[in-house]
Amino acid sequence: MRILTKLEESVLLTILKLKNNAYIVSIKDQLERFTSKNMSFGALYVALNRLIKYGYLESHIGESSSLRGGRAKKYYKLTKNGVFALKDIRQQQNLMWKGFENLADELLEGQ
Amino acid sequence: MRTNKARPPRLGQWLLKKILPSEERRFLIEGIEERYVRELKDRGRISALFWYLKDIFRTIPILIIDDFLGSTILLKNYLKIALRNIKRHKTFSFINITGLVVGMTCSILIMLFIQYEISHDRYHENADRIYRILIRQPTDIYQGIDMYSISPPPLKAALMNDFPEIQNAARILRTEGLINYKNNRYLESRFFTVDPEFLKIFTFPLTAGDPETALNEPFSILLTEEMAEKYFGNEDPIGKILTIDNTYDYQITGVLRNIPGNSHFKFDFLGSFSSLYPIFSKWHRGGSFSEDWDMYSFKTYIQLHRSSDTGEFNSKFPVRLEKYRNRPTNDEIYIQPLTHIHLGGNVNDEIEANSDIRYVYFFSAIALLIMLVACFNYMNLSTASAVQRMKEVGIRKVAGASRRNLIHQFLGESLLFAFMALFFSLWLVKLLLPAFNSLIEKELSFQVFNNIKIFLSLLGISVLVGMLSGSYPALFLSSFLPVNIIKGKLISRKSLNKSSGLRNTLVVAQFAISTVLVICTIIIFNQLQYIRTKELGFKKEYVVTVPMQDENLKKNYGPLKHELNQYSKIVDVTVSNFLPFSVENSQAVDWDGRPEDGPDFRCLCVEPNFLDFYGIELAEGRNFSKEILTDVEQAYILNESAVRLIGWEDAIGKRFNCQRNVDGQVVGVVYNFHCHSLHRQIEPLVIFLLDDSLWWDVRYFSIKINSEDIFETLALMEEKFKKFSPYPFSYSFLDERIDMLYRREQKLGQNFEYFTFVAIFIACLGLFGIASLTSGQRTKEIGIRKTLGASVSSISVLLTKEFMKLTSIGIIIAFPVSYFAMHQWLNNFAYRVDIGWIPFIGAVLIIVLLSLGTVFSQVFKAARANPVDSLRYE
Repeated sequence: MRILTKLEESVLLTILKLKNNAYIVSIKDQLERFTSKNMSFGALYVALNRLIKYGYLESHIGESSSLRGGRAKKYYKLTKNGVFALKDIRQQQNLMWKGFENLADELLEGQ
Repeated sequence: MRTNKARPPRLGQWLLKKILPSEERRFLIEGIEERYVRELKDRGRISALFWYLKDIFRTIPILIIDDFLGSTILLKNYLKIALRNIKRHKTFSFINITGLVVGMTCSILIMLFIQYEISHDRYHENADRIYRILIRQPTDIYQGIDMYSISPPPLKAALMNDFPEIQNAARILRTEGLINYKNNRYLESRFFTVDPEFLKIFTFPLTAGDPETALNEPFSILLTEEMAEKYFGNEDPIGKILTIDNTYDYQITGVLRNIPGNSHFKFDFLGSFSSLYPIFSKWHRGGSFSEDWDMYSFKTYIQLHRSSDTGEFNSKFPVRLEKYRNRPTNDEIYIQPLTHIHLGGNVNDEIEANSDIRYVYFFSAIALLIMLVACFNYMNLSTASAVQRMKEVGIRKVAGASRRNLIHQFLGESLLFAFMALFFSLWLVKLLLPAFNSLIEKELSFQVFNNIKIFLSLLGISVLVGMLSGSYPALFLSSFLPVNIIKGKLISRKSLNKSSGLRNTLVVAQFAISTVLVICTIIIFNQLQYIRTKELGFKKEYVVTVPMQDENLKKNYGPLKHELNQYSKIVDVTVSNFLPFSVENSQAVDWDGRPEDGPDFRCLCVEPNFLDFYGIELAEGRNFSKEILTDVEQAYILNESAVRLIGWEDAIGKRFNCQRNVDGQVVGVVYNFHCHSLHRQIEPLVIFLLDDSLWWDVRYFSIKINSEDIFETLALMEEKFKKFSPYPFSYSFLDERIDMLYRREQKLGQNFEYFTFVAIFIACLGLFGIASLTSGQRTKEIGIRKTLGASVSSISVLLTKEFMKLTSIGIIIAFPVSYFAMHQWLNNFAYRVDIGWIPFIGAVLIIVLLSLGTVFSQVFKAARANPVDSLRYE
């Protein structure tokens, strides 16, 4: 399994949540809402392309709409592999975070 | 509906379009645009623009980096091909890399030198707030300069009082001293006596002792680690007593870390200022020396408060000195920032000779020229060898490589070359640095990895070199049309011509640069030769000079001279205040009809035998005579310049006076001899005899010796001198001292020779490469010509002619450039060689012969080839 960066992980999750409306502007908006971190379009664009290369994302050109002056958007969707990758991450994280609450409380009380 | 206003700035969009590959870019650009429109609506034009610019600035670098990393698979292939090419074309790779390595090595060395020069005095914590006080004396121009770095001692208090901005001020008195510790006895010339504030103003850390108190008491002394080792070895010097000039006992209160080489003054000992009161009280007439406004002996440095405005402070100067003293004077006080001193040229009475910013520019120019020659080389060879890589380019294009890919590939290749060259030249620099240091007499150090700035700038330079030298080949190679290549049509005639046009220009430029350097070298060499051999007007051979720094020697001059004269190998002995090649002091003189503002004359105080000793010839009148008793006070001999300045038809017998109670008269006139360096015209000079009141000013013994058994004679002299003086015996030959006057020029000449050699070497390397390539490409033409009856010699001439055309154009361009440059340089000398045509002919011969030799071997090989081989098709 590839090790994904935090950014790539967030991008995958965001696209999953946006369902059919995931194109570059909406992804960026959503990401900013989640992480309250400001990233540039370039960084997002590069991440998206890398995820496509990994085979975690696929893209298709949408129909043109009058809103954008008749220009089409490029929509992104998770592939099966993309979903599995997220599942893997989740599993790993669960494993790592298991027992966190108890241990953290213990330590805090001890001090 | 969209209006024009709702669109983001064009430049940004255009940039993005350029950077992103074709189709893909659309979606990103449109995305950014959409968001921009929303920002515009929500938050207004200004913040939308800000958002946009910020986003663009962050986006572009990411895209560029991604672009390069994205092609890692290809990268591997590029690297493989590049390495294969290096291996296959060993000669070219060798020439390419050698050219770049030599060029880079030179440039790095020069860069280190420049960095060292501009780093002078910057290590002081307060460097930007320290100033040196200069005094301008408009009525006393010495060596063409009226600025003096010396000032009278009361000035310190006066300035402190007048300018609240000044936080600290310190005076420095530089003297020589005979230092003695348990018969460990040396004459030290770098002995400073300073105010306690000296250690506050400058950053000279102490390894032992307390900087706050070390210089407070009279007869306290600090010394550097180097000196501590010299006098005390492993002993602890603190508290020990050093005896100075056999009279004064100084107690050591601290040890200083050694003074860095990049300082405009260096010292070994720091004595406390308060010691001067008892020392000077012995001979100083009337009051304390510290109130004496006429005692121009001290350097004064000031340091401003951190809070004070340096610009405003600067604008308060110059200040008239009259303000502080009760006598009218034209002198003015100037300030000079500490960091400007080293590269600011010399004023009078510098502690050490300074450098000049012009030399820094000059060396930067040379570094740049050499680097350019090396880059041109690379460009030339890669475009010339392009034909051999056409197939590769064709196949890549057919397989789908875009022009961008190819440009990346070739740029990458030249970067690879540049980095390889950097690697070798770093190694070479390490190897050559000691030699270079002794050449320029500095202590440069080179630690690439300790100095991140140097490391980064080196990387930067090699990237620049790679980009510069790779740019044209990359564009050229990637422009081939695959159809033509695959068809075997080679490249279109037009682009081939274009490329050879550029190539020729570059060769011309290379040879123009080399020729300029050769011509300059020859002219500099001529001028130096001229200086060395010019008749100075006095005899300088076999004269040993001994500085007379010791009172004991002056007291015992009679017996000493008598003993020396006993020895048959010593021809004659004389003393004078200065040596005839450099008469440094000047005094007011008087004659009938002297105008109010008449100039001072240079003064040479001598013994009666002086003129005979040095073979200075009289134009009219008589020499000094021992028999005529009044000569001691009343006889003056002038030089021709002085007589011309006064305007006398017949000078003999005219009234003349030089700071004496009794008027004297002119008894003789000497032909002009060079009493200064040849940089300057011969100034008016008056020669008169030493009387008792002038003995304190006597500085030099001149001793003429026989040419045989010089070492034996020197040993005898040492023995005699030791008898009368506790000082170590030091001497130098007069002609060596004269050579020292032109040291700077000699260094320049030497450096020029080396750099010229390097430039020619690189240029010839390039020519060699091109010659072998083009004659290789013309084998078929040569074959046909030969079958039609051309001889080897006619073909050689044909091929050589083209190269000679290029070199000739280069040489012609070089003529006016070098003439102008050298004319400027020679203007520094009052006495100089005519430039003439010999340097130009010489340079032409050198360049033509070298380039002929380089080209000919290749051409001859091509011309001799058997046409059967070159014309046969498989």
